[in-house]
Amino acid sequence: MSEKTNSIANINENDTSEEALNSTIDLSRVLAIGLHKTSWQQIMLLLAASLSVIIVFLIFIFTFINGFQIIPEYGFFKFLFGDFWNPEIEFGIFPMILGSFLVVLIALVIAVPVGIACAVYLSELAPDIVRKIMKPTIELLASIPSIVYGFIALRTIVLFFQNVLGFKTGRTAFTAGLVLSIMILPTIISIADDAIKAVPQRYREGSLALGATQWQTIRKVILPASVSGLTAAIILGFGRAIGETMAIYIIGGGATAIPKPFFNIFQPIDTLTSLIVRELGEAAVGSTAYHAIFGVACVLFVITFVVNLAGDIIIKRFAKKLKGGV
Amino acid sequence: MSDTTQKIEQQPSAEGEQSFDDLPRRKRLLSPKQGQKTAYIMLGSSAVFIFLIIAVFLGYIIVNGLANFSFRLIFSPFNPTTDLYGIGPAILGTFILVLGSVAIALPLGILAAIYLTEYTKGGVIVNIIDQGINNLAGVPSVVIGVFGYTFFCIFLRIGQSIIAGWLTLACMLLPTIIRTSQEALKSVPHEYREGSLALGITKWRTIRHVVLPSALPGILTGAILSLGRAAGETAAILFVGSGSLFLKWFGGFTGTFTTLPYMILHLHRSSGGWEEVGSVMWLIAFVLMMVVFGFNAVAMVVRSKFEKKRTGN
Repeated sequence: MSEKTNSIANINENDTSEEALNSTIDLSRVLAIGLHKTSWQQIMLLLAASLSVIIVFLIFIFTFINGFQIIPEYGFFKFLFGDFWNPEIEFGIFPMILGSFLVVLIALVIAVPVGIACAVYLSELAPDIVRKIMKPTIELLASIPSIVYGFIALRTIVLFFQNVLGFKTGRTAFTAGLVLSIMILPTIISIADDAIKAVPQRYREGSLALGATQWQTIRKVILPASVSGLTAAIILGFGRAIGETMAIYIIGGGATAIPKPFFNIFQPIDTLTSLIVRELGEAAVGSTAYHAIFGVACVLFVITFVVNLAGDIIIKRFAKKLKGGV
Repeated sequence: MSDTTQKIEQQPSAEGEQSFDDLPRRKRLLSPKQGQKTAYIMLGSSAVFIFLIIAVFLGYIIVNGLANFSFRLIFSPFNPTTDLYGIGPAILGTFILVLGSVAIALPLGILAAIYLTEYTKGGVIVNIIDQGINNLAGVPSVVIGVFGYTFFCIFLRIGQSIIAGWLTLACMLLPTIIRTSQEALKSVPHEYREGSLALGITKWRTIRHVVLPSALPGILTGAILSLGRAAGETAAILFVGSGSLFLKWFGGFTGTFTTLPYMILHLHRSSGGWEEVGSVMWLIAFVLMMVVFGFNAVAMVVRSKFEKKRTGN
């Protein structure tokens, strides 16, 4: 009896140990194959994926190490708030900062109402056929090169301001802002469209069931519910606008002094981006002007980085809120 | 406690009465129905406005482009002795530049997209990568150009050449290609992956032989769209080797290059953009738009075919 149990136990023990052995061998072999097969591929994929982060990091490092030298060479406050730029001696970029924000402000004042109205129309009201026409149209608008915008605007809006409205020059903050507003429309429309579409259907149904008209539903329910998404659209539109270069370079007028009075939008201005285009070709590598231009690039990089980060965070919170909201 | 409940009970009725009394006194400019109608007219007109802008814009380019159209200019280089502003080298340069940069960015972008869609399920690293891609997409093209100049041309000693142009543009296109590839990979049904894995095929082989082929049209659409975007780019390539090389067809891999948008800028700078070279600039703008729209149209055709196949399955 005891022998039997012993032997059974033995057999059992043997069995389990063999099984365990077999399974460990199998498992280790599988693991080894798996590890061997996936490790180098996964590392390669991870490297490719993190390339974007590396590039962003490199952009910051390389604009910064060239740009920060303007601080000892010229002075931080004189650089940021100095009101005069002369490529040989003076490197105050305040007129350009002012010009950039002025142009972007004009562009947003025009593009935000039109863009959001268009997004509301397309996502809530438009019949299918209109949507099918407008989607590619807006994509087309986004694909037009910046320099073509500038060139065409130079021959239409600028000439119109000079010859018909009798301005001394048509290359002003206002005309630049006008063109810029058209250029950022696709960005604003597509993000606003996503935000409005993300509002759950039950919000609309609830409002309509209470007897509200469709317009009341849009105004009192859908727009408030998507307000953070719409904010993100405006913020990302701002980020797109402040980095816009070639069109503004051609239409802005390139005046490196603060217009008097500074809120006069019908005077030539210069922006941070067009300053880079105009000056970098002529600055000798390592000169103060060269460092000043990299300082400008650094300022631009920081502005767009912060703006994009803020926009993305708002969008993510918005998505989470709509998912979690009852 | 009882107080508050009473208040809550009373409030709606009180408010209801009040608003009911107020109703005749409050003057509405428009009834809700009329308000809706006006609002809709305004919303609809914004769409019409945008449509008109692009129609006028395109019409203007096409009319002026066709008025100044000339095969002779398109197929010949610039000849200073006869003042023949040929744009042939610029067209060739544009194609060489965009094809090269997409050829660099596409494989990297696809690999990144595979990692993000197939190998990860969230986490800190993925969040950082995701944010990095978004931020790279948001960097102004002129800053990328400045970076390309200092990093590729000076730091890596590549010099101002078409290779530096390729690399700089590739940096700019990477986010778009990653995002469109991700979309394409996500749209591959899960059954495909499961079916392949159930047959005992490894994950990597599944991705290579099952997932990638069926996502290929979507990935291709993104690549063609970024070809169009790269073709119109000026600021990013301005400092990394764009030169006024309108005389020769190709300047070699270490020489400068010229593109259509750069030629517009060059003529604008040298003439103030006014009448002397106006007709050539119209022609360049027209050809450039045709190149960009051509890429977009091809992308749309590929996408619609792809979608049809999908829904057919």
